[in-house]
Amino acid sequence: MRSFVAFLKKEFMEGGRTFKIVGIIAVFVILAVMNTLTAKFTPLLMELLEGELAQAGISFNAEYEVKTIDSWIQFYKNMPMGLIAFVLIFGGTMTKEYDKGSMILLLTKGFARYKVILAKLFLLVLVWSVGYWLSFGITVGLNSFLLESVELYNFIFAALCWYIFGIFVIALIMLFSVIFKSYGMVLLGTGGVVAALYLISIAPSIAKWLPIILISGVGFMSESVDVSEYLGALIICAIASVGAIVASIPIFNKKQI
Amino acid sequence: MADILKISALEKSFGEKKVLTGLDMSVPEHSIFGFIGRNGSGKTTTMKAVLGLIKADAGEIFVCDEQVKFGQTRTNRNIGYLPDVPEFYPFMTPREYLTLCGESLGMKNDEIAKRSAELLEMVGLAGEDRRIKGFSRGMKQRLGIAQALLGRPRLLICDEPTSALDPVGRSEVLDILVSLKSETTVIFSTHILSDVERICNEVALLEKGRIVLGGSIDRLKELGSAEGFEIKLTQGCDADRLTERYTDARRKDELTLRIVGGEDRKREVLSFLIENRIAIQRVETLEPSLEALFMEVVKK
Repeated sequence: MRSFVAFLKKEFMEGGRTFKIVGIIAVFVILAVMNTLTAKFTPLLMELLEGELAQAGISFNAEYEVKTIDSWIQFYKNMPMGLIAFVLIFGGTMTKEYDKGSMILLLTKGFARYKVILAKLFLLVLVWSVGYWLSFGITVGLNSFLLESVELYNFIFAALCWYIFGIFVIALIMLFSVIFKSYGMVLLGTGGVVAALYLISIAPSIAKWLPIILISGVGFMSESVDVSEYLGALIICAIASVGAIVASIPIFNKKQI
Repeated sequence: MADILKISALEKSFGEKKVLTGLDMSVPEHSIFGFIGRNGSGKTTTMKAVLGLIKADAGEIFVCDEQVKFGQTRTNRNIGYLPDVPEFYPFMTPREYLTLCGESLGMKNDEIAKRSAELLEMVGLAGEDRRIKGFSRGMKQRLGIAQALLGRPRLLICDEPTSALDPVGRSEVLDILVSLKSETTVIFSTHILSDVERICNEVALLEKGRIVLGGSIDRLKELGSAEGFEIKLTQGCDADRLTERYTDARRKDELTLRIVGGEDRKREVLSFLIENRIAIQRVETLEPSLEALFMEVVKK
């Protein structure tokens, strides 16, 4: 336990002193602010350009009143960017140590390898959680000031599903980090799985079982959606995430460093 | 003396390339053991196998009578390891790094503080509170020694600790290693023979994946066939007379001859020179050198 805490402290120190944590939190905050502001100001912008747009044959409803749902549409459009930034910043958490050989000195002191995985996982999950929910909270806050509120269906469910998909991606990072040695391969593996899921989900019959359905966002936020239909996808996503992490430990134990 | 490290019949290939082909080696406790070989002869591979970092294809390794198992590095609690180019976390200060190491080893806080201070003093980094990022190679190497010794290991493994350093850095590192003799056993891989001659008392020569020569350095020097002496005369005709008399003498140049043999032979040759009133510029006893011996072994 003590060595785990020691390594975790090192992870936090690294995240802090190399500005990775600050950087990703800034990304999430900026995205959150953009959600509401884009929703709020797009109609104003359109109004300013009304003449030109009309000339181009584009008409719009100038009476449109922006509502909170518009901001949530932006939130779920922007969140993939947040997740991609997260993967780019933290995807090298293991491979950077392989490249530099900086883990060797600790491992040769009898430091148990699984603790490396768990400490890194802990940091990633924590940073993702803080970043995601901060972004969510800021959007909620700004919406309540700036936008007219409407009834939102499955509001928390939609947000929770997206959050859990993020955890699944973190589990993929860990798994590919112990299988491959390079940062590029980790990105390719993680991105590849997500892309593959996206392609498979084109078939509607199986789409609702796939973790990728969890990022439907506003797709969930309508009265007609029955959330219990998506419990299967949630369970499969959870099992896949835990499976990836559990598998990464014995693979890492047998890895030649 | 008990053996602290025992390796038997160790084999390892990387793809088609056979790096270790049945390596046998034992290291007595409290020795400074020179592990010598050319670049690419398998020194680092052997050391990594001892540390459980790579999986051997065949053979056994025992550290303090406990078998080394790949991936599970329990035996490493007895070992301090210094890689050829130690890599630290650049965003930490030396003290923070040693604290991380100490906590990883399960040491108590006050013990970590005390031992870190002591070791940083010993390696001359006591006043350094900068982050490791700005350290020179020599400083990193010295910090590497400090981290390796933190847990008072019974065996210190150094992989080419001096190869990347300038002469001053090299000398500092060698002095530190010598000073450890009473505390621990040092294995020290290198291809620099003068370093070995300076500090080691036991050596093993690795060539083509096996140990081709090993033992105490004094014994090896006795084996050395290079023993003999060199005589420089003042006139070429005198040198001719000497080669006529001693047919095994080798002419190095016009005035210089090399004769193989010990003290008795030297006395005999010198009295011949005096009897015949041959003037001498200088006489030099040739020290048996490891280099000559190893060149001979490697050539075979």
